[in-house]
Amino acid sequence: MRALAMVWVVSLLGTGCSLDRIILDGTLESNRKAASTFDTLSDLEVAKLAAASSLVQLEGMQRLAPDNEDGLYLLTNGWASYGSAFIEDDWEQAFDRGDDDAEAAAAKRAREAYERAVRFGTMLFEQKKPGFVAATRNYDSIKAYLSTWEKRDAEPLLWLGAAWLSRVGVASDDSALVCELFVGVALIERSVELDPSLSYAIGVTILGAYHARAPDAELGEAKALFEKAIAMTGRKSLTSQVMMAQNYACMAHDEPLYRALLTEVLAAPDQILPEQRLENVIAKRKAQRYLGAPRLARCGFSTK
Amino acid sequence: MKGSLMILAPLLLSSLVFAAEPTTLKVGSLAPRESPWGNVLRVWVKAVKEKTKGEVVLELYWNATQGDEAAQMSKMKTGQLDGAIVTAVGLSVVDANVNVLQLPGVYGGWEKLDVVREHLRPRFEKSFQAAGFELAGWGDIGLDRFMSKGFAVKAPGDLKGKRPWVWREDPILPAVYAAAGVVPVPTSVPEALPELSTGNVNVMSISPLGSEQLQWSSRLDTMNTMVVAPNIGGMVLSKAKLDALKPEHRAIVLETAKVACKALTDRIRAEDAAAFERLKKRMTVVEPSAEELTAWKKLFKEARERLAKGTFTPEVMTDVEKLTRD
Repeated sequence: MRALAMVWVVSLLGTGCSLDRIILDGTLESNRKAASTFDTLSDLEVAKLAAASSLVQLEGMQRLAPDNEDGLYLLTNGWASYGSAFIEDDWEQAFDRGDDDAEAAAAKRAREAYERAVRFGTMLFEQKKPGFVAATRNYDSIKAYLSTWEKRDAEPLLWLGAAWLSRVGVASDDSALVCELFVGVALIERSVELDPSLSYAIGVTILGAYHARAPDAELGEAKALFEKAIAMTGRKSLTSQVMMAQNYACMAHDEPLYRALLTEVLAAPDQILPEQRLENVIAKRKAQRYLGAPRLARCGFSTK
Repeated sequence: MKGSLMILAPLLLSSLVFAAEPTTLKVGSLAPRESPWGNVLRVWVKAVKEKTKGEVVLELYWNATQGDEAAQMSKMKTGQLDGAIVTAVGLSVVDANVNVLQLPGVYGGWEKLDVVREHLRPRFEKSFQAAGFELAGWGDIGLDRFMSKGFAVKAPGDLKGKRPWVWREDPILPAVYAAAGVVPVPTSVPEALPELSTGNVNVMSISPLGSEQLQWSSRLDTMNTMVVAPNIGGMVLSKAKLDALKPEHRAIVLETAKVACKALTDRIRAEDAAAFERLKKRMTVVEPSAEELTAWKKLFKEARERLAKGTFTPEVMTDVEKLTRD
């Protein structure tokens, strides 16, 4: 099946005629419409293999149709999600094993995934509304630029913002990246302004994580945002609880809350939200890990 | 023969048990594990483990998991922590004179700071030891400069009517703003970004690296290139804990700590210089004229005179003034 798809892609490479382009555009549009079915998978291995394979194919298609907005969006979303769901999983496991080399290698891979997401997202933004790169000078300039974006743009704003912030998350020793964190924040803030419910309030959750980035950050704001996201999803999209534990409860040194949130996630029924099955499988996997000794110690909590 | 070996067995067993139980030194830091500071400190952890063959292990507590600087210094006193990597705020809990290394308008850069710090090092080491600490080394944070939003701070007069931020625990900058006739906005670090966002704070003296790390630079648009003061920190270890180590292990911990602090200083100074260059491209840059520099010198001198009245030991202030005189 995959071989057939590759043959199809290669055949398109050779032709360059407008009919092929129409088919390609249609395929990318269909892929975008159908992308949410991916979230219903429950087998992490299948999801990982499928995601990697899809990304390679999408990159091929994007090369053939570099200005296709669906393609650019799918690559932004795809690389951001792949980095977060799968490469960061390897990164966390390496940390828990105390394997510094593997941890550094996984962080590098994750950063590269997010770099790709940011690159495709930037291309998309420059194409839709030129001036994005120039607007990243400071918070006011990016806010002014983003003010003209509308509700239908909330998704690309969300995923470019998520990739932007995640890139800093895996490379926070790079001061040049940390310096530009505000761009990712502004992107997510605008997405949330336009549509806070998108992807089960993940934008609100990500903003919560940003405000809990350090013990001397805005922890009160972080708490309010996490609580809002959890309420919006009726406590069914478990990523919000996991991120609240990992970010807010850890930084606020609130061990009872940390344990309660993760225990709640582990106790949640597998089918609590079928449309978000994959996200919830990943959330449960993380919750298990975060209750392990290395993660507890990282937050300064008791490991006994 | 068999009987004598049996007698030795418990001893051997106890020594094995002893070898398997490393001595752990708990060290607190405000820095995240994944940060320029964290990178250097993690190498230090490895070095101590390797050089002591695993008999001494450093356990780093990142991200203020042991509380803020005052809490960490307090935990060192009670033996809950064996070390801390802190800014001048933490160091001044032990000896307030450390803040002379952050006096405004006397250093201009790292060179003079190095001269003064080396000169005062024996004095500080003595005062720290008297309080039960070893000052294992210094670690700088950056060179503070004025950054503002919506206006340029070229001369002291430009501060009039503005809302400058000061860290609540900082004893130095309030004296500068008092000399300038301006009322500062004192907050904790977490409160600063919201205050900047609402415009309740519109000017601050901060290092480029610090302003980037704390996300404050994104809310500011103008930078004066003049150095107000260096922003310093250091590594403190518990003397009692160090003295309880085997002498060779004590030496290893202190030697590697000094190397780590030197590496930290070099890295952070380079990072701050790179951040300065980055911000110059993002902000409107103000180069003060000779006349404006003279006005700043006058203001800083007045601030130092205020600080000399009670904040610092007079001899220390005299030493600094002498050593930094052009």
